[in-house]
Amino acid sequence: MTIRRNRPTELLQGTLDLLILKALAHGALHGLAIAHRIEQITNGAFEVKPGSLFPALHGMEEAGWLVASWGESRNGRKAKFYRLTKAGLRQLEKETSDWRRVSSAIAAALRTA
Amino acid sequence: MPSFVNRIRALCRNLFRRRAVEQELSAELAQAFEFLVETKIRDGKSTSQARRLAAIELGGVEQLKEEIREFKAGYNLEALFRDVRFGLRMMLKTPGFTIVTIATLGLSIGANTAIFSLVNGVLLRPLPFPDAQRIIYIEGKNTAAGISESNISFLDFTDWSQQTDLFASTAAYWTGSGQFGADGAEPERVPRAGVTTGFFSVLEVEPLLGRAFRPEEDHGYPQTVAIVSHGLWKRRFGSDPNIIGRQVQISGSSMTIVGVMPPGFEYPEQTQIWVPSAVNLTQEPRDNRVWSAISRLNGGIDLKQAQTRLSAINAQLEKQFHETNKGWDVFLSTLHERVVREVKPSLLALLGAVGFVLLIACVNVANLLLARSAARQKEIAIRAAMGASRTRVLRQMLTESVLLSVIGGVAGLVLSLWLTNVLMSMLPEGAPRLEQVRIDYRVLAFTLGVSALTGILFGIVPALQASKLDVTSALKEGGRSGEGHRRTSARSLLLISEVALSLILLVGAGLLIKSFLRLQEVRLGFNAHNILTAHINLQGPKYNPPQFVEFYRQLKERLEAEPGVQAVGGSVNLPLEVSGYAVGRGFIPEGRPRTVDESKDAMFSTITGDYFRALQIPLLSGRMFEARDNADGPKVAIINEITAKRYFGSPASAIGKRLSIWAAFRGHDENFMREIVGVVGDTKMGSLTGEGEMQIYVPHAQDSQWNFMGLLIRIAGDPAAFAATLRREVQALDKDQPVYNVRTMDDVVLNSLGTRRVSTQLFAVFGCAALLLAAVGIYGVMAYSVTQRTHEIGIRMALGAQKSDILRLVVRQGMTLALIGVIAGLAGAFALTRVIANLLFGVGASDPLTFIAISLLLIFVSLIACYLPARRAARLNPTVALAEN
Repeated sequence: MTIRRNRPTELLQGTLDLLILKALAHGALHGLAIAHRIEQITNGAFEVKPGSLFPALHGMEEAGWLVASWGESRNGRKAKFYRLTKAGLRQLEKETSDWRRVSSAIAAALRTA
Repeated sequence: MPSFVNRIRALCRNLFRRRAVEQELSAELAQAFEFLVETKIRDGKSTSQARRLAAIELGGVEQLKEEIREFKAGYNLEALFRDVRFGLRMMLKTPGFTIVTIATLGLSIGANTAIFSLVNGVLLRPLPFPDAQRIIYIEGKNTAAGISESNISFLDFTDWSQQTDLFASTAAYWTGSGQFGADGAEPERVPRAGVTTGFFSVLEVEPLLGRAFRPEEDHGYPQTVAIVSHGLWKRRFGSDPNIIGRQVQISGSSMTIVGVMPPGFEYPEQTQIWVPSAVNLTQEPRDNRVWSAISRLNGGIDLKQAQTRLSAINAQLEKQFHETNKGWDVFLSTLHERVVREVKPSLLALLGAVGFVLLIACVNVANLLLARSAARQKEIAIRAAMGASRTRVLRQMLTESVLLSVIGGVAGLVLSLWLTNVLMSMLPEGAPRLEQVRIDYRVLAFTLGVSALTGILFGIVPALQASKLDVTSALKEGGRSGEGHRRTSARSLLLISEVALSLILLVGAGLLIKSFLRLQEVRLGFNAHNILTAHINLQGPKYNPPQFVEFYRQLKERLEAEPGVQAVGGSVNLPLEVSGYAVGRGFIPEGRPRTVDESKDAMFSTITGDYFRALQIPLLSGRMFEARDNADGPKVAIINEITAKRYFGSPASAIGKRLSIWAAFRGHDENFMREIVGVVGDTKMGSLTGEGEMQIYVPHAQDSQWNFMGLLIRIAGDPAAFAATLRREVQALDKDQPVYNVRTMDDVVLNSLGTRRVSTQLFAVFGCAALLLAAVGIYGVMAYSVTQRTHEIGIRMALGAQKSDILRLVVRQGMTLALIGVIAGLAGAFALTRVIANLLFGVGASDPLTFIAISLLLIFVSLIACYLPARRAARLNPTVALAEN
């Protein structure tokens, strides 16, 4: 084993942020539930590993897009729940429109011969 | 900026409530783990299976935590604190290593800071005048006559000054000393300058009190107004605010003080009194090249434009005034360049040399760190296993090395305070701008920068090595001293560069030392030992030319009566006196037409007493001056050997020939012939490195215009001890005449070497330091390598290798590297010694003897440094060696 040096790239990082924001758009979730939700809403295309998920969550919390609070999960266990803030909602809107612009531009580019 | 505020809040939380943050992190991950386990159980796995799968999915908890922390605000800051704390703990754990490293770094950074302080003060700090880079200095040169820098003629200067579109203001000035007396206190000689009215406006410095000179005050000799320096005002007038308007006696004239300059203003040199230039334009000869000149360029004009214009004007002047201007051109430099011209090459060479010492020290410390990082393999492997990324390990190692170098840097800064003072006291008198040497922001920035850079430089190789480590095998080896191949080659490279760097520095030092030895061998042409020299400059209404002669004759008689005095003489020009007058005059042998083209330049000395006997200059032919060579007797002269050979064939055939003195400037030449009555040996006059100077001597009694004399007193015993007697005897003749510049002739000779002596000494010190560091470094590498190879050596011995085989094995390994280093160093030295070519004397920049000798020296030192560890290896007991691992 050698020391790991890879880290999610900027692009992937941004995509992950967008997916997390989207996953939280309908209510608070705890960490792994967010990963689960992303898997669901992307039809299993994205499988978010804890090693990417948790650093992203903490970063977004510190940026003020998310707030965390301890609550009870469905099975009555204490868990740390993440919820969107107003800034988080704005960020979601912004990133969504950014993504649409980029993806339609790339789609247009791919359509040309 | 809500995001920014959030970040700050998070930063504070992470830094100051770390425990809570960490607890929350642990709880969150624990919950995540449980969640995963439950999911797996729901999928139908057994409890133990579920736990195992959950652990795999989550990854190492500690690694995950570290990855999260890296995303959190303040991570870098916090990591830095942690690294520094850990670094300090490591330093305390290995005090020997720490002390050696900090001492090595402290000494070399200290030496670098001290030299840089000098460079900063002398070369980097701007002159203390507004817009100083626009002030230029004007000099003359005459390539045909071999004069590369000269003062200028006032009349030429006047023609150049007309170019008002080039110059905002111009000024000419002379320097000398003045006899200053006030309020009946004992008179003293102080540096004095005579300046034209524009002087203070060129420099843009206003008097602190009173005013600058007015144009109508510069009306010829004697001057009636004076401006004094802040220092003189404080010392002699107790900072009296009512000084303006006071009458003082300066060199026998009564003058009114009209101004006091601000503190620190002493331009030129250490001037204490400024008086009007007293130039008399109607009588000033065009070839009286004794003036200095400065001017302030107009905005938008650069040095080159000004130079082109003045050269063009000069070409006109040369045509118009052939008699006086033949071959003369003008050249400009910034005032700053001019002031530092003599010392700049030495200073830069020293800065380079001391930089090499620091580089070598870096290599040594890198070696130590490399050995230590090998010992820390296991610790680093554990860190990596706990989730430290490669950058993280690299950063921690670099933090440790920069910590070492910064502590070394602080020690060095403290040390440099003392070193700088030592350096300043070593410098010869008259070295420019030393008052500007101090610790300022530039010096601090330099030390800080050098320290940080040093830490990175010596830390980077070991840190890269450490972070490249393979965790699994390092842990498996369990700290066994397996020496990686890469680490060995890094160490070899360090050894090679260490030898190469030392060789380059030592060759530089060797060349300078050889030059210095060559200078010592220079035949002065006189015996400087046991001579006291001093100056007297007769002032006051009671003196006129006949009295000048009489005063020095009487003084000689009185001094000769003192016990131990062997000979007393004097001259207007003392040999090798840097600050003295150098009077050049031409002569024309009898029978040649009296035109400028026939005039031969010679150093001209009007002498009194037993000048030749005092200096023990040999008489080659004819006779010395005698009492009969007085004002009424036939006019006579003595010439030196080279003049005799060049123009009269030989010393013997010169006797009885006649010549006429063609003055330094027209109007002062003698319109009569002098008969050559003697020929004496050549002496060095201007400098030790000069040669073939023609010299003419005439007796004071026949050239009595000179009121000043440099005295020479040859004494049996310590000449310095005679100073008090000399003062007493002069006072007995005239209590108003100060004796100044009292020192031994040995000092005069030494001082004429300028900064050369100091730079040679320093180069030698740096060279020795480099040699010592290299020896220690090579020894360290080889000793370490032997320790690493103990097991292997044990096997070799067990297989029948003899002690001599082992000895050869180790020595060969080290010497191969050392030899590669020597070859690399020779190439480097060959390229770099050119830089100091202008500091050398009598030895080429790639002098083969020096190169060979220094190479042999380094090879010899390397051999010893390799032999000692090799001997230890050869003495190993194979049983013990094999058992070791």
